Amino acid sequence: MAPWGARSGRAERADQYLPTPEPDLDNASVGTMNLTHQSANQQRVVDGQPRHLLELRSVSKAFDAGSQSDSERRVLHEIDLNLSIGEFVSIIGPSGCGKSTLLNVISGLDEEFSGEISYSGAPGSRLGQISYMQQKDLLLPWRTVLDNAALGLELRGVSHADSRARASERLGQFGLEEYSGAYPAQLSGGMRQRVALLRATLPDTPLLLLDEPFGALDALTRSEMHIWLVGLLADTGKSVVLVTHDVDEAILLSDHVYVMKRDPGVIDSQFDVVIGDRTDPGVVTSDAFTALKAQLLAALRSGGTVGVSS
Amino acid sequence: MMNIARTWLPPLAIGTLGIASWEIWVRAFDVQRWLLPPPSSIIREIVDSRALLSEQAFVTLQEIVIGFVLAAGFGVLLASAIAYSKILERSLYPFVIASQMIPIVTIAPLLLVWVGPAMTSKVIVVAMISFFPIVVNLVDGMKSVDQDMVDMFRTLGASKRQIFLKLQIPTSIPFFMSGLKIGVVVAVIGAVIGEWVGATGGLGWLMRLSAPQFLTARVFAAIIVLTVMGVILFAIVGLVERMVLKRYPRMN
Ligand SMILES: Nc1ncnc2c1ncn2[C@@H]1O[C@H](COP(=O)(O)OP(=O)(O)OP(=O)(O)O)[C@@H](O)[C@H]1O
Ligand SMILES: [Mg+2]
Repeated sequence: MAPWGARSGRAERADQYLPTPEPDLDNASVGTMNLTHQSANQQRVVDGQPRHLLELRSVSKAFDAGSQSDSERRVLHEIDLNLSIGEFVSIIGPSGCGKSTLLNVISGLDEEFSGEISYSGAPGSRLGQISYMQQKDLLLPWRTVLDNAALGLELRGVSHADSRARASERLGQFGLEEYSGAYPAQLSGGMRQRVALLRATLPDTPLLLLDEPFGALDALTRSEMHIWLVGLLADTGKSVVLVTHDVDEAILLSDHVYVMKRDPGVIDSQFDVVIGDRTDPGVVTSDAFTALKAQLLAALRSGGTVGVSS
Repeated sequence: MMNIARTWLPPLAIGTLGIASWEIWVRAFDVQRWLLPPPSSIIREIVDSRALLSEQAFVTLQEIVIGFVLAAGFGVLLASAIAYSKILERSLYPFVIASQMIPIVTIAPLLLVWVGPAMTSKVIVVAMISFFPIVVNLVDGMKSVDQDMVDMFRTLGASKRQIFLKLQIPTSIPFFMSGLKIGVVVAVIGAVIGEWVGATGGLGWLMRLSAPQFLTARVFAAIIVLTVMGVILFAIVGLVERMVLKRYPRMN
């Protein structure tokens, strides 16, 4: 089953991210593995190399409680998570459960945690190896839309002209063509989000972390961005960890959905997304979709969540 | 049109009123000219001695501009060093602050002995006095970067050097411009102090020379020329600031 059609093409580019090439891996087997991948602890080893792009083993993190005595606030507790190449997982959970904190830890920004993380099977800093679109847009106010979008490439040593040219090619898809020379202060929240997304996705990295990337977008733009994102993944074989409050979005885009609970933040349950043709607009009313959505909402509710948009 | 009137009319009215009362008061009470000349004779002095005044003003202007540019250049280097490295900050910053504790009027005569009465000593005084606000503002600016922005740069794989060049420097630009505005004003004061202590030319030198000869109108004339010069310099820096800050819509 290849729900997005083009998605089975991921594996070709995906292999470039593998520590060692695996000639016996045909496209179909990658697609199948992604979608039938059941256990979070399952780990396939080929030629002694882990099959996973990203592995988290009992990752825990505590913040100082501040004024409250000398105790600590546990924010992440024993998080296990595996991500294969080309895989798309979503994390949903109540506000404050530690979703952003988890992405900070994965990205390499936050190094004060216990547990183990391996990425591409290699130790060392993950900074610059993972694209991370943070919850805030963090655009530089003195740079134009184009120069903001090109920042990531520029920092990787791509020449000013080349990075601008490559960013410029994408502006159209993001509905930003006319705003190329505008400054962030002149943009709406949704436009700023798209610039931030463009900046994060331009550098060629195997993993993309997205923290509520479409929160400020209207329904139509949002679904356009979904289509764009799926196309990008099909072309590049990137893996994605998406944090969202939108259950529909999580189902539509992901291979797996993780539901987090708070205090402390744990991965409470995990759902495999097996629905029909995702490109079909009618999929959201299909039995498989609505059944999964009901399950996810129930899981969120049992975690004490109220008011999660769906 | 209305706006221009609203901004310029009140100060113009107050100024005219002040000058008029000064004129009337001096005439009515027959105040000695060498004690306090009336505005009319100051204006006459400006017109009559325009050659002398502009010649001396040019000397002072040169001292201010050269000293100020040196201070700005030196300030950028020093501030960069301080903001870039903790060790450099700890070793340099105390001396930057200490340098401002030394009364400039005690250093100026020494400079005269060291480098002579030519322009150099005045340029040094100007630079010494105006580099401080530039450095302090720049350091504050470079350190005022948002940690979230720094993190964003780090996720893009930026090096410390790249963060400094592409984030800290641009962030500090508005602070730098504030520093320049204060710097240019104290530069004018610095030039006059330098000339007062000992010089061969300049408006400060002219004032120092004219006062004992009871050429009070000339002293006032020099003060006015100096003031106008200072205001124009300030306005130029302000104009540059406005041009530069056009690119900083959120901070403006
Ligand atoms: N720097 C910090 N110091 C102390 N506590 C923190 C810090 N950052 C986050 N926290 C705490 O950690 C918890 C998780 O925060 P986090 O931002 O990861 O939540 P989230 O799941 O992303 O929420 P949201 O959906 O609202 O974005 C919160 O309770 C927050 O108060
Ligand atoms: Mg968050």
